[in-house]
Amino acid sequence: MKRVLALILAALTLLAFTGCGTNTNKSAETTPATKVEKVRIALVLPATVDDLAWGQSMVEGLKVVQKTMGADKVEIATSEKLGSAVDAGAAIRQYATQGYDIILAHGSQYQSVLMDIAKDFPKTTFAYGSGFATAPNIFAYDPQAQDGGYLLGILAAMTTKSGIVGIIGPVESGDAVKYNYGVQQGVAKGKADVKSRIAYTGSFNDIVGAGNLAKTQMSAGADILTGSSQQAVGAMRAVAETKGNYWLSTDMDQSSIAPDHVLAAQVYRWEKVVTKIIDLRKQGTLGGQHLILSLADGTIELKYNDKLADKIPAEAKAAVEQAKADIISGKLKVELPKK
Amino acid sequence: MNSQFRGVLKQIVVLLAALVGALLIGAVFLLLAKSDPIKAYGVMFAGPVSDKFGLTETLVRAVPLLLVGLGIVISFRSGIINIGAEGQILAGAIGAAYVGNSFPDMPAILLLPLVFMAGAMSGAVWGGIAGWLKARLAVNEILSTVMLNQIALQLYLFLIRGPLIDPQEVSYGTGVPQTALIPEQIWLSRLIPGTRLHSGLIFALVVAVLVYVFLWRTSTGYRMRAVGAGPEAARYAGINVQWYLVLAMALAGGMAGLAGVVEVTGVHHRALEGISAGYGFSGIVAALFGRLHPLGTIPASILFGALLLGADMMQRAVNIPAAMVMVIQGLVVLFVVSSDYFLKNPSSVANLKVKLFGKKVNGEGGK
Repeated sequence: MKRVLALILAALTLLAFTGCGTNTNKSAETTPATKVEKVRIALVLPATVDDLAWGQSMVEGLKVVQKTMGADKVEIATSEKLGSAVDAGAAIRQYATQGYDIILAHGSQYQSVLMDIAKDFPKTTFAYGSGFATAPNIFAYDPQAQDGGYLLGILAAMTTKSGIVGIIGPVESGDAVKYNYGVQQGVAKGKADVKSRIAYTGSFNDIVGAGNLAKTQMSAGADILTGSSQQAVGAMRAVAETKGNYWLSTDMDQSSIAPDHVLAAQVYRWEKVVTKIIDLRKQGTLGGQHLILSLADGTIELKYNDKLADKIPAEAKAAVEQAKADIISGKLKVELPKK
Repeated sequence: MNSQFRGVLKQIVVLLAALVGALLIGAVFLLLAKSDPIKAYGVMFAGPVSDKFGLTETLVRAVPLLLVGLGIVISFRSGIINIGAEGQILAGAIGAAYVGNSFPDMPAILLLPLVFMAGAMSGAVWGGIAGWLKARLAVNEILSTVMLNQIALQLYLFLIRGPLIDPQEVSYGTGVPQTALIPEQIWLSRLIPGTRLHSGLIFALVVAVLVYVFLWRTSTGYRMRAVGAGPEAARYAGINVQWYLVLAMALAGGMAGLAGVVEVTGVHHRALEGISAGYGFSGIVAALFGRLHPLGTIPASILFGALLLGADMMQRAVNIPAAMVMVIQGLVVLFVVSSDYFLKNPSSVANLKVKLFGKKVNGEGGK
């Protein structure tokens, strides 16, 4: 008899639940008013909109796009903390169902999910990165993180006083590993006897762990540190607590947070990438292109912190600028990691 | 019949009260975050049931929840508490992906059962370890399963980053931790085109009925429930309690392993990071909400699928921080689990009434 009870109970709760739903249905309706001219962009983030790194750099980029094209021409929707592939898949699918024109899945881990969903929405443009694999309506964007890393590596090697450069990596994959590889090559090129030491936290989000690694690196002698992804903010803060140690930032310019410690930054200009995607879509190209962010087309920039300009030796800056010119002209090619 | 009807009514009222309580407290947090709770809850409840997308996505989540929940039903009914479903899902997922990718040319009719077997076995072994530790060495299964979750997670990450990583990821240098796509012939068919709803749903429903038959219509199932109801009495009756503890954990692990298989073959088509998605924990709540009955777990997992999806949709519709979504999910879980107290103690509701109204009221659970 107990099972009958359980069944009735279960059925009733379900009914109550759906009943609840229909009652409130009206208040939940979102405004479907779409003008023909308007570009509707949805952004799906693995971390948060204010992570001071990868996620926020894209959010800022989208804001610039909205500003230049006009707030009435661009609609932006954002979902954050979608690290799990199931939830991210649901979010992306929901945006596609709601008729968003361009859906940016801002993480290399979304490749598999997009490949699955994009087939069902052939008129929607999808984009993700870092990545390489595309489909007729999927763009893959791909920052050449190793190039900026290389320049920052040279800068670090020629600026360090202790002769040790510390790298705080998240996980050995994607953008992070390309960046670290670039930094290591740059350090080796900048000054032969400067050592680069690398340590991984094993997580993109482990801010506390990154802070601890940074402290360990500094007590082992590193005076210039760098690292990528959200977790690196922890390392940067640890550096900012000290005197005489400096930080090199990537993804976005973090010098506003630690003005006395961030020497220079590799900055991704996402607004240019997004604008390109919008333009391509207008011309009828919904995807299929591997969009590379590089120093050459200005989608990657190297920014110095003006406040700390005197901390960087002139010959270091000259060497960096020379290397930058060589990368842009194609004379120099920074190697990619090979396993 | 009257008393039974009352019992049902009480259960419903208590569970609904738990839900309402959780949402009320959640509303306070929503107000603190400067969002409109009525609008937010509107989306949370209406979203999952208002269109094809919501309904199918709810069921996509319900499938792994149901399979995990069934394993929880078996283990809890046998008197062993399995908190290790997260790790068992991962074991099942990696087993399925590995076997699937090992025989890319095998026809689906052979490969698909093989993949399901491999996943179920991997999960069963992982669950069985905790069962064996409990039966042989009297290791607390809550501790061992939680620890085994950690071990499974690290092993899983090691495998998808190292030996089993997609060769394409290596050749390009991106190194996203995921296995290669499993051969297309063993992708579960999509029940409704344009959605993610896959035939794993039917599989899970069939398994639910099988688990019911197993627990209530076979002598093995009877013995397992006897062990759960009173291990000492069961031992006295000549039941090999230790063996049934191991069996219960192996079956629970196998069910969770199947959840991993279904996620690989039905949703992702590969093993990737974060595939367990918390189902191992939500599945416990679904099973408890289903009153630890295999058939009750079916609507309970659909309900929780809707809850998970609705909370997620809320983020997109009313622009509240993702952390708030997790707060509300956590509140619901906390309240539902706590409401068990009122259901287990027959006089609790009456006592509460006396406390609240100062006198004894006839009947219970009246609205």
